[in-house]
Amino acid sequence: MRWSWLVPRLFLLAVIWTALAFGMDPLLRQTAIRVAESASGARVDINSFVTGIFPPSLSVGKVALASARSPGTNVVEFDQLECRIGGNALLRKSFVIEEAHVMGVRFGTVRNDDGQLDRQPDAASRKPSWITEKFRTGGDEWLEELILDVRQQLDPNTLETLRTGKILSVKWEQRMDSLREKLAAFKPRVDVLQDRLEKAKQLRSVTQVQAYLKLANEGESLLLEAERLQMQIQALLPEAGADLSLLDQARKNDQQQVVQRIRQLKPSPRKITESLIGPEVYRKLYQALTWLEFGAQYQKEIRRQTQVVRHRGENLEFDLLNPTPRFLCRRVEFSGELSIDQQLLPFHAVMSNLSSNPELSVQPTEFRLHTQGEKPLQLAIRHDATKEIPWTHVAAGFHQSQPCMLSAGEENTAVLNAALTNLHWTVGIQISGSDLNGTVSVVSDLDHAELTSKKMTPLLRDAVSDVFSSIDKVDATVQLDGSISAPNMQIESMFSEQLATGLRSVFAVQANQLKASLTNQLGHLATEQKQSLIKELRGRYQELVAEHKATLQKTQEAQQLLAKVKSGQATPQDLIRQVSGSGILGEKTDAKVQRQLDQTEKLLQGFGRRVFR
Amino acid sequence: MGLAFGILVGLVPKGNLLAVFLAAILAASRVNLGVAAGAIVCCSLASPLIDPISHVIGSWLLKHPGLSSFWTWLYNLPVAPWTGFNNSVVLGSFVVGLILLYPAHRLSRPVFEKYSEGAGKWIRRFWLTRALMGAEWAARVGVVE
Repeated sequence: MRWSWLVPRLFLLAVIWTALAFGMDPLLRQTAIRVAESASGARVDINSFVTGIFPPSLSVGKVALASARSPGTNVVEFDQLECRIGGNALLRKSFVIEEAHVMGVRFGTVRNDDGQLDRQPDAASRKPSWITEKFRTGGDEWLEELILDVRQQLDPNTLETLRTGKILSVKWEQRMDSLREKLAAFKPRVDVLQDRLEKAKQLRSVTQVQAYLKLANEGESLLLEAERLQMQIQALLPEAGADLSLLDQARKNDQQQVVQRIRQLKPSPRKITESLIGPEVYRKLYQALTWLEFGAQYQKEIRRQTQVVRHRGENLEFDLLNPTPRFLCRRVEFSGELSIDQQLLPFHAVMSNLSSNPELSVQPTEFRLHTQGEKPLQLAIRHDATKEIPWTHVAAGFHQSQPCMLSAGEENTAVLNAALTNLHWTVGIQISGSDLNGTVSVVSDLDHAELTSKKMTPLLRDAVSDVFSSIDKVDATVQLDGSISAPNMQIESMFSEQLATGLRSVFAVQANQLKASLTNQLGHLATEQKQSLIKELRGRYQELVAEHKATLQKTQEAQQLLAKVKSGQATPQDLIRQVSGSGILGEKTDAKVQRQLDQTEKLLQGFGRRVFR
Repeated sequence: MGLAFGILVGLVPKGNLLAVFLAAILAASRVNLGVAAGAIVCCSLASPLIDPISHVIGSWLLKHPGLSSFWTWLYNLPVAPWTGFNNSVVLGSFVVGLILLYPAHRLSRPVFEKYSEGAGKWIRRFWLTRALMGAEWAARVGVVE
């Protein structure tokens, strides 16, 4: 053998061996990081990645999967993964993990960096989740609403007495204003008549008589109108009496209805449930659905990422004598710590039959988890993708002996504080395709219920507190349907029904006590309304009558004067005297007329003596 | 022969066990590795250009009814799926390379006989060649095996 032939080939062999021994594992590690980062959208750290060939095995150390949603935390982290890979299947290009152990699993751990990738997250991930919406619209307002309900039922503004009083007050104000307007329009016409009478005095005798006749006609029609106005004013009195009777009837109606209204106060059981245990139930449900969604999304992304994209040529698959999925994980055991309500609990979980091609593996994937300690959690997930439409069934039971503090309501209205102890959660959810269906229920003991309120009357507050004290069990069931990302949920509770019934009983008992005080309140209100209306009516009526009387007197005087002129009974002196003393003329004019009249008489008397002497 | 083998290895897409096998056979044979390496590099760069032809040939062979039982048998053998023979371009380019093996050898031989001595002297001038291959091995560049 020539060295010249052997040396380069040995060199080549050494290069290949070095590449395989020192290059393949880092290359696989980088590939695994890239695939996992693409799937999760956040950083993935893998400390070590070691493969073995005889027997085929994989050992991965210190893996941390960052959370894309909450920077600075890991979704999951584990210390060690040991896999035993099936050799025969590997020779046929199938990765079958016969057995794997994942040790030191922890969730939600803190990272040194934010764990975010440089690329921007998808817009879809920024959408507000249903839980945000639920908490935003959810129900701390039930106590406030309850108080408002009580207040509304007893609010004087809703009473018929007050409403009727207000309507009558407005009505009479309008009536009086209307009559006053009519009177105000009538006065100028009388003034005009007086002016024209004054002017008629300056005229020559025949024209003067004609003017007086015309004015007499107008005076007659004015008098008729004045009489009609008087009749209208007089008709107000019986109508006012009828309206006061209406007000009295309204008072009687209110007295009858107010007690019935109190009895009908219905606090909403749904709102009470949503307020008291809704947040806790929704939070747990959100956690469960988020994990399911995360699992499904991660599985989908991993599948997409690991799918070989052939840019060159076409792969043809041939029938296998022993069909095996390209990837099959027969059994993986997990152990680590699970954080439940800020407490780390050791857990053990087993996952079996995780396959890239479930139709071939026939058996559904199963995941079972149980924790130890004071808050045992048992979880079983069964995912069957062997059928055309895959379905997943999630069943979980969780017992929490540590008390969970409840606080519902708002400080400026009413706050209910209580403690839930011995909580027992039961979850049964079925997902078929994208459809979600199931229930989440919780049962617990209710302790130390205490109600504080600034707006409630002490009587009502004590009664409501008594109702809470009488309840010792709390339960809630959420019925789910819709999809994982947008589930529809209906919360129901026997406890809330019981609470609502208790509150209704309290209101019924209190109704009789309230009846007396409300009757007094109503009587006082009705009297107040009546007196106010009478006072207003009387004042305005008297004012109106006085105004009308003055106008009527003036009209009548003018009419009498004109009537004498028209009948020819009055001498010019009488006429002048009449006019002068009627108040139709002004004070100065009246004095002037008197002087002129006296001088004329003296003149006439002197002239007569001279004639008849 | 190094050129012909280099063309065969260069045409076959990498990343499968078939390319590794061919490379191992090439390395184990007494062909001129320098020429073979040059041919591999050149043909690897040019192979996407003949992919359409390779694909047609590979697809025809893989889908041929008379051969289906053979492919199925081969597919069920251990290690065979790693060769990527079920890919139309891999199989097609392998067949093209095999077809070209003898003509390339026959056609290139007179050319190498004429120019190998001059090329050998020229290539020995480079320090990198001498360092990588050794003086004696570099002297063999011009020798046709």
